[in-house]
Amino acid sequence: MPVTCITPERSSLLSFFLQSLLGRKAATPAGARALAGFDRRILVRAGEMQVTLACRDGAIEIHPGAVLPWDASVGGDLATMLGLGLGHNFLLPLLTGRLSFSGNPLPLLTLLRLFGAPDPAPSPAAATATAAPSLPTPPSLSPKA
Amino acid sequence: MTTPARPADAAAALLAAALGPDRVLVDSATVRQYSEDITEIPGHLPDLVVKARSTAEVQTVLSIAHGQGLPVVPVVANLNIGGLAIPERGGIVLDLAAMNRILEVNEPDQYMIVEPGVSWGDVRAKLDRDHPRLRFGYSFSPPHTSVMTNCLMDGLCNLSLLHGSTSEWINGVEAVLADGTLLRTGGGAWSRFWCTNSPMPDLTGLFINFQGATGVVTRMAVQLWPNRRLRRRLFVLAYDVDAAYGFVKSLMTEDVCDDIGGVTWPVIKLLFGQARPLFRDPGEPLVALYFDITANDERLMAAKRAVFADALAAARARGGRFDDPLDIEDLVKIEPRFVKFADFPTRFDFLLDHPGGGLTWIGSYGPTSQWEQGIRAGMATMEKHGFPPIVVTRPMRGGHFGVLRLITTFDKRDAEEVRRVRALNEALADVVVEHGFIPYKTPGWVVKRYAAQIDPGFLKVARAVKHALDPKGILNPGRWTLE
Repeated sequence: MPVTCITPERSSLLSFFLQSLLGRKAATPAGARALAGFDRRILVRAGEMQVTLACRDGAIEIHPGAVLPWDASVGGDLATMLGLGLGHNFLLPLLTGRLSFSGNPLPLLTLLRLFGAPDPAPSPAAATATAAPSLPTPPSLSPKA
Repeated sequence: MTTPARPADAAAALLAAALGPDRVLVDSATVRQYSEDITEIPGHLPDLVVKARSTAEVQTVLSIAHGQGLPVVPVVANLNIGGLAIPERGGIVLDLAAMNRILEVNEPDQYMIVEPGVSWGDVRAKLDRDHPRLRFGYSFSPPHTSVMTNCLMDGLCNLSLLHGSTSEWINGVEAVLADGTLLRTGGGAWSRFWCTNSPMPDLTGLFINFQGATGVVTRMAVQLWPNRRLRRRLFVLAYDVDAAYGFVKSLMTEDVCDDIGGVTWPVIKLLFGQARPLFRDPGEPLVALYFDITANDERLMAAKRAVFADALAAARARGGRFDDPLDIEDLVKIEPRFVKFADFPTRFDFLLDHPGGGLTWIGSYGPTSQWEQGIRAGMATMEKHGFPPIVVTRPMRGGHFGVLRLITTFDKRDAEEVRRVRALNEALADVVVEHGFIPYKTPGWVVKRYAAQIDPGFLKVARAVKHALDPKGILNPGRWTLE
């Protein structure tokens, strides 16, 4: 399996969300190409949860907490991070401070290639729902630097 | 011809003659299946199992059992959480699963008439196929379980914030008393339209929460509700109990949501396939709240969502920490297992399918004013006993009361763990009762534990009702200390 949680019993929800998101994408040919030769550590923060993605040999290990040294970090509130994971545009949250990054941006661009909605898994609820106006944007949480 | 020595043998012979031998089961493998449920409550073997297919057959069974003085325990899915269908004094288990017809759906008057074996899945399929204008509420029970038993035991479902517990939806019942007497209650006792329980004297209540101890209900008229064209289910992750339930309380009286619920962090980890023991990362959210918002009109949906957003902003302004709302459709895209929260009825396999298969809870109804204290005390008690703090909450009927359900999964094969679970449930029962909550689908051991707190006049009248309807005490004996 290309994406594994290290010590899953101690892993946070962020680990499991990332494992789901990245796991299915990494298993595709495009994902495998993105991971090929990619040897980096990326710290991901969502709210007060943080995990380190250790990418190496075409696989990703998700470690609980911050594992030093990391090459880059990206963080925001959980909803923003999950939106990023689903492939939503990252520019607006970046410009409004809901998303922040530090370190070498190149690994983050590779990570973005592994994001985006995986294969659709339609929900029964979707069958009865139609588009509704977006929620007015509530006050945002300050992402951790 | 010899006369059978035991009442059970005599009853089996009479029933086989009346219904056919294939409907009366006495083999050890079959009776063992009906001897226990998935809880920690000790099982007990029945003497025989009878599978009824009609009201007339139920009358026959009860008449014969009454004549022999043999206990009768009605069951459908045999998945009760609380030991209520364990035949603790032996006798007959009356399996009603084959009585599974939806006898009528009255669309203009918004009710249906169902038999005991009709399941949540049956109702959903029927309404979706033939009556899409109508909807019903769905509990967290698996789709194959009985709608009727849930309603008769004051269950809760995804329309309970709007309409209360499911017993409040009952327009009346057809029931067979211990001696075989048949009666109807509610509007159906007089009118051919069974659209209301009013204005008849409320004899329906004789069969609600008595746990099958006053009669066997063979038909039930129950309300349906107008369906809604638009639906959104939003999840909000919260990081402390006070903030989470302050937010819930601010919305539960606003006529914005069809349903509001909360589950604590272990539920999401179990959903992701994690096994016990479970540990919480300090940065993780504590509670996942979900909100159902429906409307027939886009403008109303937009208005409801605006009120929802304002309430969330106000909760944050009070210092509460919440993540932004997550649409269930997005959660399903991220992790397909979230589909279990997307629509109902659903099967929470992560609670049911695990080594040892044990599942139990102290579920209770009580004052939302005491929610936060009760939740914290319940979680602390579960952690102290070495179990993950699985808590499910839901405001009911416009917030007049709320659900506090403390759930434990365990290995039923492990005698030591079963002993620990019994001790835990006793402690949890103390917690909920101390906070003014009343355990629902009340197990017999809970009633005995707190009998001294229950109004003696209430118990006297309840026992008189039981005696009037079941003078020999054959119907599901052991419930509510009624005998």
